[in-house]
Amino acid sequence: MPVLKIKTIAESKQEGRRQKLVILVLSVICLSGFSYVIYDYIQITNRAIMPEAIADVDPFLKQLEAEGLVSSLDVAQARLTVSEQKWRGLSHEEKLGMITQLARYCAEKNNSDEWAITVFGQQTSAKLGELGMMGLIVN
Amino acid sequence: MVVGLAGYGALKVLNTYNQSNDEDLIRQQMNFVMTDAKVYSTKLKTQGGGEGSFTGYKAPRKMLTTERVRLSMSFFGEWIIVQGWGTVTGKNKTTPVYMIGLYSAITDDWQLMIRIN
Repeated sequence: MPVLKIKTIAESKQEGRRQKLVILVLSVICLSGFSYVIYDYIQITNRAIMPEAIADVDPFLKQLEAEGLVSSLDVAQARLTVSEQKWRGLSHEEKLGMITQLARYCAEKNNSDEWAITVFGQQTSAKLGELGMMGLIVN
Repeated sequence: MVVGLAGYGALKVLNTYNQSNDEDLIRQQMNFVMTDAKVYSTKLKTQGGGEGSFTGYKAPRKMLTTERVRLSMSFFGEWIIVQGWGTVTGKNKTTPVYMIGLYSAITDDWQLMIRIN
């Protein structure tokens, strides 16, 4: 024979508080998780990673020019001119990757075995990075 | 939504694990190539070596391209720069895991070995 449990008002209030706490905790978890997903997405889309294949570098360079990061690339002189403001916005790793892969790109175009490139700022003409006799340097 | 976030988290962990594996493979392959290059530099020119220099060294194709790693390299002065790509998509979710290594012939050690993507 089933036994009905009668809840007191105090028990009912306690149960209500427990449910509210569970909902609050779940909401905080969801909000934190959702914020992380958005943060992760922004991190992904903001990365400027050079493509592996040399043939894909040309369209990527055009994209970077359209975004205002790259002003010009003199392949014969292996001289890259960039917007200082946009360059500062890149991570250290992105800068290293861009310098190295563009040095390789210039070497292939110039039929040279030695990868070398120098990066200059458009406004100040300051040297912002280099791959050459001094090694791989990012300022 | 909780299930969705849990699934996203699980995929993220799996992807990070795969990327880490690729990173290890690239590091290992870079070290293999540098060991081979050092053997070349210690040999006499008459034996097909560089006599103290890396100039003229050509890494065997099977070392530069393996099932999961692709390397490219260049020499200038004391420096040897190596780039390596894996097979798993990296942090940007579009291109493979990508690393750079910079080796100094003077200090006989990696001055830089860093994951870019």
